[in-house]
Amino acid sequence: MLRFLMRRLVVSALVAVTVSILAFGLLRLSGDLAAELAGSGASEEQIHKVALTYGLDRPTYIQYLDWAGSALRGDFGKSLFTGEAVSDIIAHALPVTAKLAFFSLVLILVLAIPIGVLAATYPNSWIDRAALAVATAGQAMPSFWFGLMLILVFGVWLGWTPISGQDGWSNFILPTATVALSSLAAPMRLTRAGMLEVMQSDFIRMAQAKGLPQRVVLYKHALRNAILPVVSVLMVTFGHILAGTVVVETVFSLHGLGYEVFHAILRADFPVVQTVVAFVSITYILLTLLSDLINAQLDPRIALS
Amino acid sequence: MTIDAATTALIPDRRAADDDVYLSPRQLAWRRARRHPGLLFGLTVVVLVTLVAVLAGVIAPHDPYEQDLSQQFAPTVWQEGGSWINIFGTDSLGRDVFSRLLYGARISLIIAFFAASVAAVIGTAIGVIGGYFGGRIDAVIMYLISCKLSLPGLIVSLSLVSVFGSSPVVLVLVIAFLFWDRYAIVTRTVTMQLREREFVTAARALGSSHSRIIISEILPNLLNHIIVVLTLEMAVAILVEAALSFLGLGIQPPTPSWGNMVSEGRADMFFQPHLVAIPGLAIFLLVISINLLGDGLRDVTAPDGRN
Amino acid sequence: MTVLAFIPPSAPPVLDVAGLSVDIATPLGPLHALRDVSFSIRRGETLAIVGESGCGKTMTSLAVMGLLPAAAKRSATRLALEGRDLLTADHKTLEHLRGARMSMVFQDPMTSLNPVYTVGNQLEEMYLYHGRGSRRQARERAEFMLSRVGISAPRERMHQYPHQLSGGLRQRVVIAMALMCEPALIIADEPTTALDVTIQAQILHLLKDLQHEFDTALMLITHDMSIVARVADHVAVMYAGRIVEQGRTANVFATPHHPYTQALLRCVPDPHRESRLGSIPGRVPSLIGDSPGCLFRNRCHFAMAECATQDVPLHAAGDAHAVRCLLTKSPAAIERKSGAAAVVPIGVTPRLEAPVALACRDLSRTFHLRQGLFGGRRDLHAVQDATLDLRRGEVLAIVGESGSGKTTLAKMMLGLLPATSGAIMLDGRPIADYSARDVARRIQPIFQDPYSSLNPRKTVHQIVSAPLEVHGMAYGQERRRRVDDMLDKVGLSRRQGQSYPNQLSGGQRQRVAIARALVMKPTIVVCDEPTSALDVSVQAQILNLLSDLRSELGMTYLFISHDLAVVRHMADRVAVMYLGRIVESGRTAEIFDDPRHPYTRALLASALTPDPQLKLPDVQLAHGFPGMFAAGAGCQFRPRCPQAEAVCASVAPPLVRDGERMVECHLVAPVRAAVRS
Repeated sequence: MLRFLMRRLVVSALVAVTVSILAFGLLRLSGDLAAELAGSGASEEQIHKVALTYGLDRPTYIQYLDWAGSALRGDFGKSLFTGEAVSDIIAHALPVTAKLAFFSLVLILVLAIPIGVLAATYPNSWIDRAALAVATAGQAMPSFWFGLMLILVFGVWLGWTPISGQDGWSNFILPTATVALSSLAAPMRLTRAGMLEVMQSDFIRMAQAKGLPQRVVLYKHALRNAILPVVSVLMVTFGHILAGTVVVETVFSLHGLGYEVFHAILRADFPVVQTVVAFVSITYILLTLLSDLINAQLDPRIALS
Repeated sequence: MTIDAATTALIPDRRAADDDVYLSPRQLAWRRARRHPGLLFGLTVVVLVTLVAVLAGVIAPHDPYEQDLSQQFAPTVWQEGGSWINIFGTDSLGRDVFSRLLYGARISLIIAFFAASVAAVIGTAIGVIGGYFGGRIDAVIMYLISCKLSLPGLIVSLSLVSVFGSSPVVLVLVIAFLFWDRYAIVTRTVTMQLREREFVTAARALGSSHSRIIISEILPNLLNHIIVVLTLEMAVAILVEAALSFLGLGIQPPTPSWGNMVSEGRADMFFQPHLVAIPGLAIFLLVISINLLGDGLRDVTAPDGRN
Repeated sequence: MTVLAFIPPSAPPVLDVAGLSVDIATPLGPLHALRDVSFSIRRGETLAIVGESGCGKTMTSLAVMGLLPAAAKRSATRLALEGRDLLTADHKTLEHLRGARMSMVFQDPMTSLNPVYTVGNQLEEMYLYHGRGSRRQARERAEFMLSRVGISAPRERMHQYPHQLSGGLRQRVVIAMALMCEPALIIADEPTTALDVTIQAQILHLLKDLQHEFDTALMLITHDMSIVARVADHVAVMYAGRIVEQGRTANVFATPHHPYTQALLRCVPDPHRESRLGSIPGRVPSLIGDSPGCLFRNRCHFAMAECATQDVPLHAAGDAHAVRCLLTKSPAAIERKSGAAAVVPIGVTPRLEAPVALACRDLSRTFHLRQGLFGGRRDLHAVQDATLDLRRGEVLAIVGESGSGKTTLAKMMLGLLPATSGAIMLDGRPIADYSARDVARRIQPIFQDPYSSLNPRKTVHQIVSAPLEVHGMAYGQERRRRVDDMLDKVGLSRRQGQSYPNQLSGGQRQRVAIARALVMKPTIVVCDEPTSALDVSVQAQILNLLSDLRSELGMTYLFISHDLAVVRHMADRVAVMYLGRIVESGRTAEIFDDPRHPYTRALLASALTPDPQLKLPDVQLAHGFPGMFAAGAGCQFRPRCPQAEAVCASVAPPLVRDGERMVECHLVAPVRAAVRS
């Protein structure tokens, strides 16, 4: 198992480096970043000045190595527009996004898995159909629209929740609901499909033939097997949430990572953009590694190979 | 009534008299399709929306770009003071919402279709190569897929659009290059399974070249999966385009896109909620229909176990 | 056979079944999976339920256990376990009875054990959930049972996971599980089908021994008539959901009354006799809907008009013998029946002087398995130093169990896998001189799994045309004609040519595979277990077809199989493989009559025949199994060899030749020894 993990580690490192290069190159694809920053109508001289100021005249690979090297020491550069250190920006924004992602994941966990199990235990019943309907609806809903609708209904018409801001816990109710509903479908379906498949297996029939009580068959034998892929999916969902909060943060005016990077993109504030993109990507990579580790622990076939 | 898989497994191979020919895969799928409510509903709506989009020029009562500030915020037909002239009312610039909705359908469908198709080509090629050749080549493919998966799709889309502009072509390409992973993963997994089947070994024993085997033996078996993923990816593409337009980096006004209609309506949301509700509802209905269609296709073409 | 003397005939049966029927509602009408099944089993007795796929034997076991799928409806006049009614028993009662009073052994031990829990855990839970004792007592009992089923080092095994054990060991674990609570009845559903032949004999022995010791009733479900003959006291032959004949095994085998039973017995190839196999034409009718009369009539040689209209009840036909057939009633018909189909031997003339079509010399193939990024390499010696000659027009069989390397050898001969060392000669020239296409022109395969060897998206005609297409042979009209011709030869109709594989049965698909292999008229056909996945009656058809085509087209076959009976029937010469090495080879008759290598002897001894007078063979094989990674010197069979001596551990066994015979063993007296350097 150790060898398996070592191999995964090496590959992940490779992917991380590649992704950082891609993040770095994102805003530079237009060709001349300095011209972008200088704005349209700027003269040659002004563009050159901008380039010098931000070190954009140096060869690209030097710029990359400089940035990557500093990043490893914790220095991610400064925002071009606020002058704030990027690490500070992230330090302010990350907790907001992390809270949102975490609450959403908990909500998904609490809803998706039990409902998935229930749906699989009574296939084609009304529970099953309702669960699938909710999941399908959630998947189909544009999150910005759902968020706005929730604001209208619960914030304005009913007045139960605040509409924007990020100071208190109640501010996170609507955003969490929005994010959770959009991402509910995959884990729920996977749990359901996994349980259904496992329930058909021979060892379940064997467990029943052994006269074990139905709940033991369900929870000890079936769920334990069906849960394996769900763990991975939850990790991946967490990663997706982290990466996709731009819309929800914009709708609810939460100043999280998505919000910051969006505004940075609009202003071509490249230090912020490349750092946040690299940061989110590497977090995702770490999460996948974590899920591999958990899987290896849970499944003796991997653990003992 | 439905029979669970356990029962199906126990029903003996239905072998009727020699005259009776058991149904071919296509006939079986067709028959199952006719009884699948989700698929039928999804298909109906998708076909309807497509027709509407194609015929928008004919059906739309007004020019979607025509502004009339004297007519701004006209109520919908079911609200007080509304009329059938502007079924869904007008927006802040006096433009007819219904007409904009119809034209917006065009944009959504066109971008979605082409983005999903280009992604299909990219993703399938990558997946098949990795799944078929295995070994080092597959390791490279997995590395590529991992890189793509780690990148935050929406954020990168935003960046690319800000660099390359918001034309439909750019949107199609950006979405295609950022959402091909599901194709790659599905085709890779299925190809790896197919590679172990004996009919592929038989083809190798015939001396067929790799390309011949891929085209002649493997691709026909992938077609069903690709179509299912294509449908589901179209839905994703619609949502991504809507999000981009909502954030202001997608289709630029005055060209109507359901996404930017929501964005524009947001400012006046509290008093004219329908300006936000209606375009969003349209997105929702279209996407859910496409998803139902895709799920239905998957159910209908799912292998019978012994296929 | 068990001696029943000590069980008084009036002892109540452990399982009493009368009039059991199971119906499944389908969109096309009710499917009668089981109809009017009746039998009873007493303590210490074994009842075998035998039939081909789809006959309802598994359904019977599930009906008894109450584990039918939700859509199935069960009804019976009587269904009682130790006097307790199972029909009306509620959920909780059934749970108490299952595992404690009646338990099951399933076919595939890999899938019937939960992969995420240890062996010990799965054994103990039976004890614990049936309230038999404490944790410690459960553990002790589990260890005891493991050693009782012949597993060494039981304490260590308790902590292992299913995937860490071999197939035979896993099945022993499953048997131990079934006996944990000392039930009165064990239902074993094809318990040895997934196992190697040599292990099969051991497991059957184990079952019988345990049955004696615990005085359990055993219901054995199988498709194998030979197992029935050797193991069962009573037998019930099932066809299309009904019992068509039942009674004491000796009686049924000596005088089978039902045409199906007779036909089934004729389909079984006899490893000690050569003959043309009987086969059963036609297919099993649909079980949906109510049709009067006998369901076997469309395939029965003796069918009369009444067979279609009259309902046929089960009636007595001798002592402890019942049959469901109208023929036994009519005296005139008895004459027709008693003339068994004449046994026609196949004329197989070994062609000694024929040229060598395909040969291999010292062929080896090693797989280098890597363990992760930093792990060491393990070498898997799949084939070692194989030397064979395949002459034109003959059938050479390669026999071996799982892990013997026979499939790897076949793949190398087909040119699909490069050899690590050694040479393959095709028509006298090294195979490397030929291009892949030339090799394909001359050698074609037929594979084992008819469900995997045909592309589901192509029609039969397209599949059979593919070889001609790839090699640019014949065009248009001519190509179509050749394909139609070939389909005709293998017994498929034009209409079937336009069908897709999913529309055909297993036997028909295998015919398509044969047609595809032969359409280019290759010299050699490599048959890799071509009938192992088919029912006995279908197997017979395919084997007969292969034999006929061989005579007609002058084919040469390399025939891979694990089934000795089939090999005896088909092959001129045989090579026996064990762990990658050819341990014995020679003429079929000679090897079967006088096996010299201990492994060959064990193999032949393990092969069962449908002769109820014989008991289960006592195959002397130790449990050691080094696996293919052991690179030690000496004979690889030594860990299991009953006659191993000191020299066998240190020195590699020499190849001893005797005319055409070759044996690789220290213990064989060299007549004209040629010691390998």
